[in-house]
Amino acid sequence: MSLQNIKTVILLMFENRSFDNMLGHLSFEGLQPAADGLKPPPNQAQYANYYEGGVYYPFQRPEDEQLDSDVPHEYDFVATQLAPGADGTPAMNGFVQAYADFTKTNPNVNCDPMCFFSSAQVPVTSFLARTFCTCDRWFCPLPTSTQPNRTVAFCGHSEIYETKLQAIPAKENIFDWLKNNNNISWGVYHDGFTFFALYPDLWTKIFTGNFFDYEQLATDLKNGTQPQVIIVEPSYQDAPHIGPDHPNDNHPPVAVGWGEDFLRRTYQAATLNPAVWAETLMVVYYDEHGGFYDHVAPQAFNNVAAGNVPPPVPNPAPPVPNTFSTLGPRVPAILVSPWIAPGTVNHTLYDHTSVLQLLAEIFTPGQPYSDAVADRAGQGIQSLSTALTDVASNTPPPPPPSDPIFVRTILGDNIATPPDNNMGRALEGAALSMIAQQPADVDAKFPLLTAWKAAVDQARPEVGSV
Amino acid sequence: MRAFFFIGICGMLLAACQPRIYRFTVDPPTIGNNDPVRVSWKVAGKPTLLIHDIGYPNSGGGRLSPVTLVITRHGKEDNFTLAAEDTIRLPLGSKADSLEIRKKPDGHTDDRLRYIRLVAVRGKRESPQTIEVPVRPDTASGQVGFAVVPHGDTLIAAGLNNAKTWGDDYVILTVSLEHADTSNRVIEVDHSGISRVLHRGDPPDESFKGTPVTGQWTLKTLLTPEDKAKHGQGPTGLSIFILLKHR
Repeated sequence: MSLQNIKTVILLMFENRSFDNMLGHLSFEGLQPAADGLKPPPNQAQYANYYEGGVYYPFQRPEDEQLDSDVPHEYDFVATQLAPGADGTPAMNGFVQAYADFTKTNPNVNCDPMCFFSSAQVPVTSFLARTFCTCDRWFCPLPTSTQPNRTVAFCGHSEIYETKLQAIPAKENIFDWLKNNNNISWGVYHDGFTFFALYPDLWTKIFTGNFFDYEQLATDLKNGTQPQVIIVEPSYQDAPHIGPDHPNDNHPPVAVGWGEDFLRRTYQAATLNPAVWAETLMVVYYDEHGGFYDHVAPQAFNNVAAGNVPPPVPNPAPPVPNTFSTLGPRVPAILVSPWIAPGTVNHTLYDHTSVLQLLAEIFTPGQPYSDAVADRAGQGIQSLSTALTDVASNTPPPPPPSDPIFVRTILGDNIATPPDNNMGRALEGAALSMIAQQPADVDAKFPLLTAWKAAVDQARPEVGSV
Repeated sequence: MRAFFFIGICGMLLAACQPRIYRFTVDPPTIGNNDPVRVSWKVAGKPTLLIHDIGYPNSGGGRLSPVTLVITRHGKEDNFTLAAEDTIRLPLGSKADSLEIRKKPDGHTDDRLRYIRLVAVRGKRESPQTIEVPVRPDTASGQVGFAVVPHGDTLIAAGLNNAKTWGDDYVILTVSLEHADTSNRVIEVDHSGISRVLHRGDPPDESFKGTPVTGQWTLKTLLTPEDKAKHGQGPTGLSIFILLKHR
């Protein structure tokens, strides 16, 4: 393998889509038959979901548009979605039931969690998946929501089990690990407010030199002045917004066209400088499935042994309590690099800690990232190094699709509307706390956030700092 | 004090400017080709109704034929032509009201899914909600199915079929096994006090003819030797095909 050849690792994590939702089309359209996506016809018994006698199947969205609402993906809803049988094996047939429970509506025949996109609707994702390496056995680590899964991604384990307004512990976080191990250079390029604001222990890092505006990324990569490990953050749907930016993290109900453009720009940045590209691995992945259907059952997994805190089992216990005894659902994941076999599908078992394993192999050979990550490896999670080749592709990176991307969207929420979900409340709470405690730093780092706070003060005077 | 008062007023005004959908219903939930459907709404903001049709999922149909929809409101009828891939856009005016949509009879009986989308707008802000109304031919196919619960070597899939989906206008004509099921599975069906065993390859069973599609259904099957060979795992759900007749 070519570990010594990888000098730059770019991590781009989107939000809330399942493998079948974004990449199920690869096999459905015959573009990448080896990928374990959906296969025609969609009304096969193996894909059936059930709700009050109705049988629901995957369907291709007529167009990429903003959904009427979010799709449920908190741990209790995930338990319903996975619908484990008597032996604990997920049947993957409770996605419509969870949606009905969440929205309290009678599900439509074409029920949102069962939708998938065509290659034409996700042209950049599809292009990268077909051109480089699609990972079709990449699961999110925990069968729950955003905050715990992102925490595992960047800390190796999670001391929280759900998403809400909370200060998230950052023990064994990637930034300390990089600094403490040969002072590996790193940078976070954020297109809006950063997710890491939810970790108070990381605030010092946010304000001291390693967090950059996303627009700086292309310049740094072009000039070869980029750090060794790069985390790219899209503009989050749930984060405070003011000014011209628009969410592009693919979190429902946002249409994915915005994220497609963001992915295109990031790939273009990664390939600007041939010398940098020659030593780069870019990982495109999603934090969790977002409540969207996926047909592959996650395998049994002892997440508690790997240092994760499971949800409490309520009394009386629901029919299927979620004890984190499986991996989370499958998510889209694409490896982009000259050091992977082009146009391939990788069936190796990965989760977000596969990235941390790889970083440890590159930067601290012989030393695992952490005990928690080592435990996951012991349970079968492989390192991304298993996908790397010994010989680099010598063909230049092909340009991404350049066709215009049309997005049908709704100019919905504004500042006067408080967030209606826990993730939104958490990011707003973090922003307000930061502004209250470090106003000068916030004004320098996130100048629009100060303007946002002023607007919120007018629009929602009852909101104070958290 | 005056500043606080001003900020408070601004906040209330901005919050009051949000579009909201308080109620949006379409009744009945599934209709025949010439049935009327009543749409009711109550919103904050300026309501608009969007209507467009697609082919019913997995119906294998081609391009939909254009239809003329007659929309009746307060006794006044307006005709709208809805061609394939077109959308009727109907500003509604009143914040709370109802109207009726009926197809002008034309002899066509496509199998359709009608998207009825209500959008409440205030300024540049919108709040949407979509209800899909199946528009089925006089004889329509469907499925009834449930997730299974194992009881020893028997798998039982049972529950109430959703009246909110089917309404009261369709009754059973025949029931049969999945065409694509090649497992030689035998399914026992209980519904409306009738019990029958369905075998693969049997002609559609008319024993349930005239019974409502809604209500309690129970499907039972035994684990097959093939299931047992796969670690005792049978199917995760059971379903049957139903042929329906519009009343």
